[in-house]
Amino acid sequence: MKPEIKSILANLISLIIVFLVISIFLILIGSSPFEVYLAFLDGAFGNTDRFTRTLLTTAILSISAFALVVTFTGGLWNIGIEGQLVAGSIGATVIARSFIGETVAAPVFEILLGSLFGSLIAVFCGILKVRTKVHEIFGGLGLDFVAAGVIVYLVIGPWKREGIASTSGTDIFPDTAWIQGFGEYGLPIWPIIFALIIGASLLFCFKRTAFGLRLKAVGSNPESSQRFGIEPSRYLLYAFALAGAIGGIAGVVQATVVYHKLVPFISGGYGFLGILIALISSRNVILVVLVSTVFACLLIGGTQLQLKLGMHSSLSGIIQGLLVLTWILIKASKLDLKLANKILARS
Amino acid sequence: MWESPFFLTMKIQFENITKTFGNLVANDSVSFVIESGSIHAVIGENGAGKSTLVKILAGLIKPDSGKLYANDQLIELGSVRESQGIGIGILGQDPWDFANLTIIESFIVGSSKNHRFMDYQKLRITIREYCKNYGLEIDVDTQVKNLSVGERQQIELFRLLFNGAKVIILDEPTSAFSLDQKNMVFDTLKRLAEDGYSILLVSHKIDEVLQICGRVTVMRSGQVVDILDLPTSSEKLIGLMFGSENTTDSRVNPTLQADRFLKIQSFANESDRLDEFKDVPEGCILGIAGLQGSGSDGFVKSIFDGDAYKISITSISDNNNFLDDRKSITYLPSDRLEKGLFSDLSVLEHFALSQPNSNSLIDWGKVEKDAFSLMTEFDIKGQIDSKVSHLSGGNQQRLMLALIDESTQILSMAQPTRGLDVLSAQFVWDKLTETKKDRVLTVFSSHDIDEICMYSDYIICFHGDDIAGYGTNAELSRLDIMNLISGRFKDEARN
Repeated sequence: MKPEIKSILANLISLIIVFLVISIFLILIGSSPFEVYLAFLDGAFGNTDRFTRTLLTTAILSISAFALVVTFTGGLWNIGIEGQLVAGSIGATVIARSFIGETVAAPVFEILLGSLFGSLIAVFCGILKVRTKVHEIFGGLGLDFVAAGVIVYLVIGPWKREGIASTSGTDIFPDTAWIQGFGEYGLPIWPIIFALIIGASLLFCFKRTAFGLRLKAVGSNPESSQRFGIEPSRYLLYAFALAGAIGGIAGVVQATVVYHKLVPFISGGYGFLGILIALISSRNVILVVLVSTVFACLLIGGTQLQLKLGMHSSLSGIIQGLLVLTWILIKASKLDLKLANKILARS
Repeated sequence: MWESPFFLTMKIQFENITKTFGNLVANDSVSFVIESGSIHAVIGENGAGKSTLVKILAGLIKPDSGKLYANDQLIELGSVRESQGIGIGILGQDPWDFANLTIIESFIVGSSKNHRFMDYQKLRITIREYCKNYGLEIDVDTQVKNLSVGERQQIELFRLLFNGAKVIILDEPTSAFSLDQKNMVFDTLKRLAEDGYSILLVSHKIDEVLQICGRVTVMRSGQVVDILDLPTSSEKLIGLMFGSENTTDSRVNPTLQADRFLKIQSFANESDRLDEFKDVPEGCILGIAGLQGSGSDGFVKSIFDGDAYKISITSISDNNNFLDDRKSITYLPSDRLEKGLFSDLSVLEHFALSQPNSNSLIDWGKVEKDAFSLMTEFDIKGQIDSKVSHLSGGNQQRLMLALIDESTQILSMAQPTRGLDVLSAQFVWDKLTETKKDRVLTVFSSHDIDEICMYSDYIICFHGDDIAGYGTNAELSRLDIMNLISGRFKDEARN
């Protein structure tokens, strides 16, 4: 029981320190931390529309970070996550623009093809690593650029709108190809369900299955794995395939729920943000959801800064950066654990 | 820049240096003198206390008691700065240089002289002067990676001199050398000694010591056994090194009665050499003797991965190669945490991983039950959910033994008792001898001759990367093994 209390306490302490640091920064630039936080909360939850958008962003960020939990567990730096999101959204668009897009089955096929595309591009990165020893950071980054190029080509080339070749995106998908929200405000029920299913499956996978344990073993020490009859390269490819499929689903949601069309910057940078979230959450599935919520608040709430306080919305980015840096510094210096030990020793 | 060699004198004196680590006495009142301008050797088995002594001289370790003098002046102990200040430089086993830099650049990077702006031209002349003086013909603007290992070591020597070294310690410097390279470095060392530098050669290779040293300190179990002027006979040195009063066997040799025999073939990839052993009894313990840096550990590992040696272990009766079935081989590496276990996984997770048939779901209840009974059987002390990195070395090794699958036919272990205390080592050996009959073959490598003599039924001796001799426990005496692994009397011991 005690180690869990300690870790919860340590995370709580980290959170308090992070908010202190951000508050000091806000005071230094001459604004009131209280007002800024209030603006963020208002921006993220102030009305049903904002609340819906925050929920949706939380779901997408969680899915994207779940993909990275898989690869981090296998000891991989899946920088190619952005490309996997893009590939997923392209897969969804292929279905939406085909005859299936006009049928009620469209969402199902969008998800299937999207996750297949995401998986394929990720496995390619994995093959580069396993067969030709290209580090996954280089392979992944390279494939991110390839995906970014392909999507621009598609949007201004073969899939351009009638008579206009513009980077503003393809034609809007037919209604049947949208993954619909619930009720008047379009509550993003499906993305939330996807996130919950994926999160629960990962929890089950890492706690109960031999696959999860072996992947963890490979991530911990590939050389020892071989002694246990585990072929590391096989499990690395599995990890890439699974992460790519999950990342692809995040891309499908971006195309079919957020934009309802394909736009060049479809990933919204949520892939890279997912890396940060997975790192901060130290691969803990539950923490991923909590941290994703915080980031969604910062992203969506940031828009209100300008309207309410006349501050530039890029401040949101600075706050995100401060949050990540301070958190990592606290964890690296073990400041939180030291403080938690002191508190526990006293009580 | 250029130290004038004519005024150089550097005498180092150890006086009653004692250093203990826990119960282990690494240096037990060690006293001897390295005269100025001499090449002095320190020899001894692995674990004799040579490295500790070197580290004390370099200031890396502070001894418990004793004194150290340089030119009759007391040196502050345990201070790297002080040791460097009086001019002590170490040449390591591998060149500590920067492969992508040119020679000149590597001098600048490694320089302890704090020049803000380096005068390349001046430095170039200085290095050329060193090269000319000690007969090394190289272009100082070439990249370090284009040099041979021997040349790199020589450059390292010059770099030490350039940084003001007057006493040069060579810690097993020749393991990676070819013969030519070795002679080249040795020539340089002789010249340096003539110029007044003092050289301390730490080695367990008796030939080298006899080749260039003027005096030798023999160490055993932390004590100075003798200090001799060279030349002397190599037999005498070997006797001193391993303890001649100890050469009679204290082995509790298992008399092995086997009706079935194995044929072991080993092909060394590097040297194209094929060795064959036809009379290894099935179910025996095969000891691979060899000094540190020899091929013995590589041989044991190759049974598992076929890396350095291509090995086959076949049954004489039916010609079946046991190494074909990878699942029946278990390999225990000597660095347990780095190559054998998973430091961030718990003890329980290790047991779950070793279950052969867990392809889908893990039944944690069953794993836990099995784990508890194995932990009791193998006396593993530790929480079942604690990370393996929190276990002691002895408990890690017992865990590795506990994880061995019952279907294992060939068990190969590198240094199975490395770093273990006496009781843990005893436990390991009790388990292994108790179960050896259940396996086709149990192979282990060890630097400890006593361990080889005590527990092996059949012994293969490595000198360098080659097999120097072999035989059953009864055929090879302790002295034979010592001779073989030190590279002496190969022919006399060979059957």
